[in-house]
Amino acid sequence: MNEQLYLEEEILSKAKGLYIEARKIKGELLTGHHKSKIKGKGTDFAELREYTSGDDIRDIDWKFYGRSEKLMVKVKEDKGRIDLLLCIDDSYSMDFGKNNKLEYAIRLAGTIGYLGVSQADRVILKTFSGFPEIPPFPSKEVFFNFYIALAMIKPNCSTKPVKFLKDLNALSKNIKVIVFSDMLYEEKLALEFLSSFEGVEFDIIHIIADEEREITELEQAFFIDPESNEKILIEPYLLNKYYRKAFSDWENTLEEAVNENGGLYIRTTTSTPIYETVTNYLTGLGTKR
Amino acid sequence: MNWNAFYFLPFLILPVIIHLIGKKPDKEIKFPPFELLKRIYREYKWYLKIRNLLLLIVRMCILFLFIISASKLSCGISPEKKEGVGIIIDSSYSTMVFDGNKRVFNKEVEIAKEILMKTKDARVFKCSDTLTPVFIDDILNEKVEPEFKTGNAKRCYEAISRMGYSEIFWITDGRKEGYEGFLFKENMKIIDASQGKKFINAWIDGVDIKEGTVTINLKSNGKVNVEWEVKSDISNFRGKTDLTDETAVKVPFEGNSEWIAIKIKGDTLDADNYYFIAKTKKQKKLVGIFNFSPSEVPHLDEAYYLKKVLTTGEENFRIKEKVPSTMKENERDEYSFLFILNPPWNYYVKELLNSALNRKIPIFVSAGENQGFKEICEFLGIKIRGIKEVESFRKLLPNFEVPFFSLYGEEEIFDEIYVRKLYLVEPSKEIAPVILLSSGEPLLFKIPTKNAYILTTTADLDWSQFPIARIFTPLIIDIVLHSLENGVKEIKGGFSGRGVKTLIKSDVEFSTAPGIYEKDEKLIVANLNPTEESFLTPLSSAKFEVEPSKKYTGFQVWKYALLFTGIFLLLESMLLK
Repeated sequence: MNEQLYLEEEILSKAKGLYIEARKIKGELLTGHHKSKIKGKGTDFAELREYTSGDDIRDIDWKFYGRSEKLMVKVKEDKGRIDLLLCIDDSYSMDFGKNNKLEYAIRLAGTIGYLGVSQADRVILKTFSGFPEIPPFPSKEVFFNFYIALAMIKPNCSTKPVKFLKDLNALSKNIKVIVFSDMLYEEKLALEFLSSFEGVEFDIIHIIADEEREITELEQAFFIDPESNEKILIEPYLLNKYYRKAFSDWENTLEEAVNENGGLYIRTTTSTPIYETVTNYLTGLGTKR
Repeated sequence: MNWNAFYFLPFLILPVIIHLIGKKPDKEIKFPPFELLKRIYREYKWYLKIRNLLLLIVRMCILFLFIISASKLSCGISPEKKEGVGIIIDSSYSTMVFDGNKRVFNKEVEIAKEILMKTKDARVFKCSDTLTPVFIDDILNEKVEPEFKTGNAKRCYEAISRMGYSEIFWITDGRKEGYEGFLFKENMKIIDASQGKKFINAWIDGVDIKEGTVTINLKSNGKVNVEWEVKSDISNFRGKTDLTDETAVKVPFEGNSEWIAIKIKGDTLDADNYYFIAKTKKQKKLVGIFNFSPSEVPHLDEAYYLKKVLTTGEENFRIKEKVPSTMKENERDEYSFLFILNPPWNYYVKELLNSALNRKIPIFVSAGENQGFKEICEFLGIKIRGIKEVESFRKLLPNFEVPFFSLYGEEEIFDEIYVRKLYLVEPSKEIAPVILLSSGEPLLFKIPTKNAYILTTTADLDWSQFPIARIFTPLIIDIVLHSLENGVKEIKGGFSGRGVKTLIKSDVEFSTAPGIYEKDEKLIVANLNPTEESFLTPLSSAKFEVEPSKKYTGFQVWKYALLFTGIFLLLESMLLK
């Protein structure tokens, strides 16, 4: 596994000069690409915190260690860094499509993660299932581990976004959350999920497989929910007549809910080239199809 | 109206069965936007049920309407008035009579054309064959000729009346013998093409040969002067005589003559004026006469069994091998298949046929132009050459003496009547010819069948009408002559003397079923219809005018059903969209 798998030259060349932007705390940062009060690798000391794997050993407060034998890291006021939390939906529904949605999400997260690290942000990778457990990636030096982690992501859970958010709420609110998901939950669940981002800057990258938007196999068949294995027999007649509109309505509902909750909604399909999605995301246009 | 279409009514249940059982697909598709599908299903399931119910109803309607269309159902005010006009042309032999310089038959055709021109949807039939009226496709262009067969008004009418015509025109020559006493329905109009004229006709009623003299018994239905000619292989006499009712003409006759042929002429109907008899003994002939002709006889059955008996190694038949028969059950078991179920008879028939074929002896098959006969001919490798027109034969064969079938080793002499009454069949390779008589010829005789082999006979009262019956009688006599080893002792044709129409001798025994009969008295007649009505009953309410009527078909439901079938098909396709 190497980063080339997730990074394409074309993407990097096109993304040159573009930055992941923290919208809500804009204007408060002193230096760097963001104006932020979040703590990081600045010059002014802010506080001590417990050492975690991946922290630079040069930041360890050796004096404190000498007094207490505890490894603590000196957290200094960051002059332009943010914590970038990349959340990948690894539910079974993502394992679908000729161009696999999960694969697409991973590639997308890999690219955006690289860009985040490149602009000196701290990148944190999470999956909905919480597996594998992945430490933050504060610098390019250890970023190789990030790709190892990405490679380990497999579809292995049913969608439980709210539970995932509970874990998320335990984190600092001074982060930017980017969710890579197909958002195929029950409507109530999806809206609850989106409203739970209150106070947190979040972007939803809605990944859709082409086969979901346009059903091509219109013969009569049992349709199975990949997560619950529930079956339904639905006539091609109904699919032909109502599905496209239902899907479109669902996309619009989702977009409105994201916007209402202060998030950024980006829609993309698995047939869209990664660089295009990334570029659209970074320029804030989104891929609205 | 095609009632058979209604047999398909049970198929109406098919859409219901399909609807109830439904088709469970084998295919399973994993599909992440499952929630959307569930939502669609919840929202539209009632709509879907209603649509499916509508589809079911529409499909049943389509089937039902299609069946109605195929049935040609019509609803009229009068159930008897269904469709069109049927025109029957009497093409029987008697219409050959000349009225002035034109045959009555030609006048009939002209009347038929006149009705056709004034009537829509009329169909023309000729009744030459009493069993099956023959439809004439295009009388305006087609050359229609009378045929040398009898016509039977009753049977023809019965057959055509079942076809559902609102009116039927029966164009005939005014000779009422064929339909006298028969009560036609009111929709039957009888048109007399001869306009009430009565044509005097004479015929040879019988011939009595005694040493040195031949007595010709002539009969007529009026006063007429006829020329007669008696010709034998060694003499020839001609003369004229005035004829009223019955007259006997005596002519010297050489005792050593091989044959004698008699002809009269001078009356209006020339075709029934011939008589032939061979006095001297011929070589022994084996004659097989098979009955294929009357309608009650299952032709194919006989063809089937004849093939069986001709097949080496299959001498016996088991009863369960019987093919479906059109005959009544009791008759079939008792009579018709007697020879089929009796092994000695099977052997006998087989030997006879084989022997006849090997010795190039003629096999007379008393049969009509039917499938059974054709099958036999095919089986025997015989090519049917076809029917020759009488007129052309007359041109070709102006004299009495006609060499015929010289394959036999000695020259056979036939009267031209025979020739024109026969289908000429051409033997393939060296197989002996088969002679096909016209369908349903009467075969009425009483003979000592000492060494003759008469396997079965055909006789049908309907066919035994004047004047055609006497044409066959000599032929039958001839057949019998050939059948006898010791010559003719007594031969009497089937005329009882009770007028021209009653032709069955009182002492002739008959059966209601065709088949093979071996009686002690050697009386062999079969297939008479015991329910035959008296011909002497006066004609009832027949009308004699041309009265073309408008076609009345009633309300043609089927046409609307066809229209609605189309509409419902359209509706179905809309529902499926």
